Amino acid sequence: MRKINGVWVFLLCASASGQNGHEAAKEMGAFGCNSNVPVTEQVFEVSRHFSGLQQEAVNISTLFCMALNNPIEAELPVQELAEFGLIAESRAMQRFSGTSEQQDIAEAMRLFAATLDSGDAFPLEMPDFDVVEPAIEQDDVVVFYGISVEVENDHVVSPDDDDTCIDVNHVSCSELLFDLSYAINPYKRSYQIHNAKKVEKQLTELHDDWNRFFENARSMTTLDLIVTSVIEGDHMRRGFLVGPVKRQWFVLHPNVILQYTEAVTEGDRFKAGLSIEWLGVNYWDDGPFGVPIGASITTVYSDRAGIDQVGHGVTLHFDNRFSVGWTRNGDDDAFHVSADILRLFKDKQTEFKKYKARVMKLK
Amino acid sequence: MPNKPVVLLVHGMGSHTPPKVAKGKLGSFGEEFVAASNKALNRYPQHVDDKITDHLEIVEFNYDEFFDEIRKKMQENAGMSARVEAVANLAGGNFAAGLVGKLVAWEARFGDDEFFYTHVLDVIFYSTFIGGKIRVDLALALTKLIEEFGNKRVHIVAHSLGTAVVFDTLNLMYRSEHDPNDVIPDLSVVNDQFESLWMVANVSSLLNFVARLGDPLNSDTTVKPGAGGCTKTFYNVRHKLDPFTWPGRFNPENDGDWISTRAYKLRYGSIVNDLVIDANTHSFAQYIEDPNVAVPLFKRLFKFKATDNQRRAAEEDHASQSIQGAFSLLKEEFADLEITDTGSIDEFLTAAENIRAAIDGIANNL
Repeated sequence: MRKINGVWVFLLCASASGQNGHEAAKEMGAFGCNSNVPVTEQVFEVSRHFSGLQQEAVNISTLFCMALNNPIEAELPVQELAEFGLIAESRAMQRFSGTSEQQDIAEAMRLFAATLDSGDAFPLEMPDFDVVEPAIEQDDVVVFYGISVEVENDHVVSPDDDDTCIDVNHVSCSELLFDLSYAINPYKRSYQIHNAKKVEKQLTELHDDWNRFFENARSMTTLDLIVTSVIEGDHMRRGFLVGPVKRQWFVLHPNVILQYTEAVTEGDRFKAGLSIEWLGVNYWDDGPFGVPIGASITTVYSDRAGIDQVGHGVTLHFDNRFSVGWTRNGDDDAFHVSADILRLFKDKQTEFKKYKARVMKLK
Repeated sequence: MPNKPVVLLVHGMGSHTPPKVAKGKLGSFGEEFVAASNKALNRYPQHVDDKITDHLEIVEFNYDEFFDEIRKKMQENAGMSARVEAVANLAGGNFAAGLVGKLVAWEARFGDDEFFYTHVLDVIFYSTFIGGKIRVDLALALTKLIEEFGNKRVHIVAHSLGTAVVFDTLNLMYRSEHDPNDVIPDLSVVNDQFESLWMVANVSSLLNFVARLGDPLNSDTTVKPGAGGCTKTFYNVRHKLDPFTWPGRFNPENDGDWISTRAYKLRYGSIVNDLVIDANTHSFAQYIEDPNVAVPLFKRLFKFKATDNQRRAAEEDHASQSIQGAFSLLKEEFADLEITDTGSIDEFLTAAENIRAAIDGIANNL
């Protein structure tokens, strides 16, 4: 076992037996855990009256940092955490002993130490020691303090208490309380940062999933958005943050199409028209066959002679971009494709022409 | 280590230019907050030359830019709807022209009606499933701030529709079943409580009827101050004559139901304004400039202090800018608006349009 800055470090004994304090500190630094950085640069507010306790808090944070960055070899320092809680309780009571707040602070610190002595309980509870001015100014409360866990535990300092509650060094209780919170709260920093980074990674994945949806999925009208939200509502109400829906729904969704039919004279077989998807569904990412796919009940309108202008049928959607369908126009069959397919052919045609030109140059 | 606390701003309905983070430039909502805060702060002699940015960092969460992209895409589609209507007419109305007509009329408002385009659509979009993306992005912004600043130096200020976005996000983000080792991204109500939450013109209760992601007044919600909650202090701010805060108003009683009576007394602040500086009583700047809001806000953000005399002087200065007779005039005008407490989104949108018309009319007479 080694003692570094007043804290027994079991971890270093296991991995650095025979090494001196300097080597051990270097090893701590190797995990990027700031052990060589002065305390004043590791905390948001420097404690004036509990500097020793603040050092202990930073040490605990460093131990957590090392254990979290080296999970294979190190266990979380839950024993050291419990000891820190007792140290905090003891140091607080030394300072507030004899003041009018002694009993309330003893109760608050007892709860704090008990919370940190979690044993095998998971997840770890690492609350702040809070000292807070009330939300709205009040005649009978200057500040309140405690830790926010299941049991409501807010102790109040009244103006009278604040006037009379002065320790042996003539520091007011409210000033001491704020300072106590500055000293204690750095203990949880590494654990908080570690967990926040994990959550950040998870949320970034969801963020990327949403971006893929908006880049790739079929475009939707407001009505489509509303209908999809109603049908897929359970996905959004799972009680936690989620990625995009798996299915899009379409109602009265218009499209520009190109219709083909052999029921008319040659030269007039291809004609632009409009389609309305009465009701459709599209798996924008992974469909039933592992690819984006969808289908709609469709009506197509095309203004031409020789065939009914209106036909009813179905449309299939592929890869969120291409649609092909069939309708029955009276006694005739007609087929249609979406404008996106035309764009694909046009692009391919342009590519082919470029290639042909290059080949011709070589000849 | 950052040495100032940070405020995460979340805007409401309407057009809000995004911040240019790389250049360190705020967007329009951030600028509005800074201007209003500076005006309020400079009323006090010890802060007469201060800028709010001397005391805190500001991070803006902008979702309007994303909604703008959606709006533009839909406007492109709206032209197609007009063609559908033309074909329907051509076909002699045989093709369910009524249904198509409704669709066209709905989407034809894009670009024709600026208020609809910039305000009402925000509410509609957020209420659909694409609100899920907004919530994920806001959660990501908050998590990064807790990582950088620590939970006790993070504050959130939300306005109007932003209060619904914030409520829904926090309710899903802070979970009592939090387990840091599972696949669900969430934060702990014990370990990660941030310092204060400011809900200005709070419509979270209203929009909850639509999205049904959680009830702001339910004791099970984690969007509350104190034990089991995401924040240490919670402020609800409204103006008596802000009609957006009438339907489905967030107004918890001190009966131990939402939070304990002790937490209600110490950790919850209900702030109600009644001075009218601007006929648009929903204006975010008007809320922030009012000493009723500015003083507790600054105290919470950076331990602002002022003597009783200084505060009285600031209040008198603010009151001197109020529009004489405005309160009565607005009250009379809004009395004709039929806004009930049903909390339907249709009510909300109708109210929005009526309010806009009323304010336009009143502003000309004041």
